[in-house]
Amino acid sequence: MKHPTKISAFQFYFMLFLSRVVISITVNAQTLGRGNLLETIFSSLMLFAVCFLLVLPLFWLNRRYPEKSLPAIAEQRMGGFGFGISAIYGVFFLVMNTFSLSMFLALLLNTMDPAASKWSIAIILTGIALYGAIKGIETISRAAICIFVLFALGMAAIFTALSPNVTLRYVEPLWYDGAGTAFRGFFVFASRCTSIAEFAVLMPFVTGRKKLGFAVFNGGITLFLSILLFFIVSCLGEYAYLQIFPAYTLAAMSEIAGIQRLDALFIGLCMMTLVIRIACGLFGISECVSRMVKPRVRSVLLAASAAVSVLFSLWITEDARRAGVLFRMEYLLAFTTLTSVLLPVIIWIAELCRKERKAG
Amino acid sequence: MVNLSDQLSENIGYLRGIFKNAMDFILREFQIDGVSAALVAMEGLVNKQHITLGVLNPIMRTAILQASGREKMVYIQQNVLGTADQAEVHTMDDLVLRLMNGFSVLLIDECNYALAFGTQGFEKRSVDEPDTEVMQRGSREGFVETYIINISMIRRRMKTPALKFEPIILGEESHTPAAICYLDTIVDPEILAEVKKRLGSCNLQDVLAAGYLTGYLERPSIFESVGLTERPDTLCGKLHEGRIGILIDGTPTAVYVPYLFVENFQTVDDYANRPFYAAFIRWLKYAAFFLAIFLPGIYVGIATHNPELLPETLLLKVAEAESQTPFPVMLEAILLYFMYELMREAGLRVPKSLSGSVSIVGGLVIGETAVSAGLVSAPSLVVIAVTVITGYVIPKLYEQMAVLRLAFIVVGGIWGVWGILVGLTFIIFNLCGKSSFKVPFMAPVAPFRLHAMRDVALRIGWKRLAAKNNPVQNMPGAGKEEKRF
Repeated sequence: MKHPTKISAFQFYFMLFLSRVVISITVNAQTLGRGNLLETIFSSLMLFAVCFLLVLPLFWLNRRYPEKSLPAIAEQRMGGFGFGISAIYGVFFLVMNTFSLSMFLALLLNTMDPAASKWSIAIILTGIALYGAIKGIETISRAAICIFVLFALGMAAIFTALSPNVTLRYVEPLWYDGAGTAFRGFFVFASRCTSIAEFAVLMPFVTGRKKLGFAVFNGGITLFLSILLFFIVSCLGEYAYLQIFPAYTLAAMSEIAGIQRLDALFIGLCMMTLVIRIACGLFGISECVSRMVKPRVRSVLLAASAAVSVLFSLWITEDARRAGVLFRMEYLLAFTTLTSVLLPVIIWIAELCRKERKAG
Repeated sequence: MVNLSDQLSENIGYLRGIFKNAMDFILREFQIDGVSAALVAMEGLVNKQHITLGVLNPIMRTAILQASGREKMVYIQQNVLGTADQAEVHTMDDLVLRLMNGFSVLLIDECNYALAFGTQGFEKRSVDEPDTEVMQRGSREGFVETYIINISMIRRRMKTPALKFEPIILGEESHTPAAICYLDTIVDPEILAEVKKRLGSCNLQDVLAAGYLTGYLERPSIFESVGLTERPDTLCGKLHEGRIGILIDGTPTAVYVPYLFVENFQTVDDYANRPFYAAFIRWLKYAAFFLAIFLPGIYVGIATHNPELLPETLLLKVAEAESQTPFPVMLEAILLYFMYELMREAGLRVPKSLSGSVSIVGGLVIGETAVSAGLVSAPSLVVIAVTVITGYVIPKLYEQMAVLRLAFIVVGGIWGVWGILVGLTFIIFNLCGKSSFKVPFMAPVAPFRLHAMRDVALRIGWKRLAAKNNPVQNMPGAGKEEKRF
């Protein structure tokens, strides 16, 4: 199937950056194991290296089948099992959308406005993302550029405002308790990373310098996360370990040009990036089902997926224990490993074997 | 389609039938050396002196000795008349269309075709500067209602054979003549074909203004992807960038496509002023756009939900002012804004002699009495006033800003600052999902092209700007079909 729409690698990686950054900024000491938060900079560096390895089979497959996504290749080569792979990717995006939305709702309700109407927030955000997903990847990627500019300016303002608060004595010696925190941080970051799966599904839509773009994107997100973690540790000190969302607390204590706190700006930026993430996920779902259903049914399916995400995220945020059980790092990590490591590698090996058989 | 008969009486009978009760229909019957003839025209559309001196006198004073009516017609056509604009007419539809366009038509018995002469002579407005697009440096000419004059204004500025004007007729009942203009060396043939196709699908009965056509040239959206201008120099600049203009008879506004969002912030003055000043003004307009849409919403949102965002001194002043008024901030802002829009609409519609009174009453009631009576607070009034002023900086976007401003007041009042940002996200998606004839509406910002920023983020000097023409069809992302389902 030939895709009529091609976005540039530049647009694609902006989209991927925003899609990944939104969940990275919800890190906290509780999920990272209460160790030295600064050590999680090494976690992000480890993920940086692992992402380079994981993307190699995808680049190989993309060079061989430039017009096909990973699920499409699987469907073509493996028949019924291939359709199962498409379904796995679809469910993965659905789960990650629900996870992201519930994390944001938790952030909003626990920090900024406990009385906020989570129904209206979830429905409006998902509605906008659905609108973008139905319009297509070109719309999402163009919007990502605009939102990236706002995000970059907003975060630059927050970091600039915080720079006088940097206290280097809060920076504790690294590896005091061993490398456990760094490894746990790596698994947390990896479990929430949708970039490889998004790349696997959306790669046929991308044209241009994909490899260079991936390197810049991967480096950029690691750099951003490192800067954020440094500011969290050096500005909040011990206080960072008591906060559910230390990045939010960081924004709340920033003060610029008479404006006393920038938490509303931070929440706004998170929300804008979340819309991009959900839109990407929904478009990923649409791509997974594109070969199984007619276009009209696909838009109904997308709306249904969006509705499921909203309902589940609302149900999960009703009780913090539900989130703790359903979104355990181990579960998410297993799912992410399946979609980002196992399935790409299996299809890659299958293709390699097929190629060798042909050559033989 | 009815062909002309060779019997003059039949032709006259047909015309009398269709122009029954039309007092402006002129029929002058006469004899040309024994053969019956008639001249038909429409009162008010023709120059009678021109008809008398250029058509009737030469025919009636010349001895036309040919035997049959057809031979007489050929002789008149070749030897008698000196009119430059002369055409054979074979059908009644064509004859009627020409009559409606100010032609006078000669019919002769025993001849199955007629001769139409360009004798237009109707009252028209003289060329003057358009009020809506005032320019400080440069031409003071604006389009007028007569499209032929508008064509001449463009031709005078672009003396190149590459400039083409293709005639079209719009309106099933009004038969409004129009012209599609473009530079055939630059224009994208696919876009041109699409424009013609969409205009061909226009099922309007009457085309009385340029705005009637925009619905046929774009998909429905908050923001308009069809450009409108009253300035010939603006249209010439657009044609040079590969755009296609449509000049419609009866309206001084030309339509052009494709139209991009950034064009709302560009004026001809930008290119006549010094680059650094033009860039400064452009950034002022970008800021004004955001202020005009978001300022009242942000004010309401902050005052209602996020007061921590305000500096302490300002917060105290706002709180003090608000404590004196009976309405919540959102309602106060909506009331003030409605009052302003009412005054504006009244100022536009009332006779000029009364507009001063409207201003005085409005200024006194809102500016003084409402505040001193404690109905509205001074900060709210200042915010709405600033918003209104900034709105006038980009007149092309006034309609959108007026509606969005109100929407954001409500959104800010209900959800606060995050609601405003949600709204902004929706607008970004709406803008980014829009294309104008396969050219992304947000180009060259999204998709981004650094090179194109020289006329968006900046306005670099003419030496470098003129070095390479960048037609609109070469914008990043242009020519692609959006994947929709």
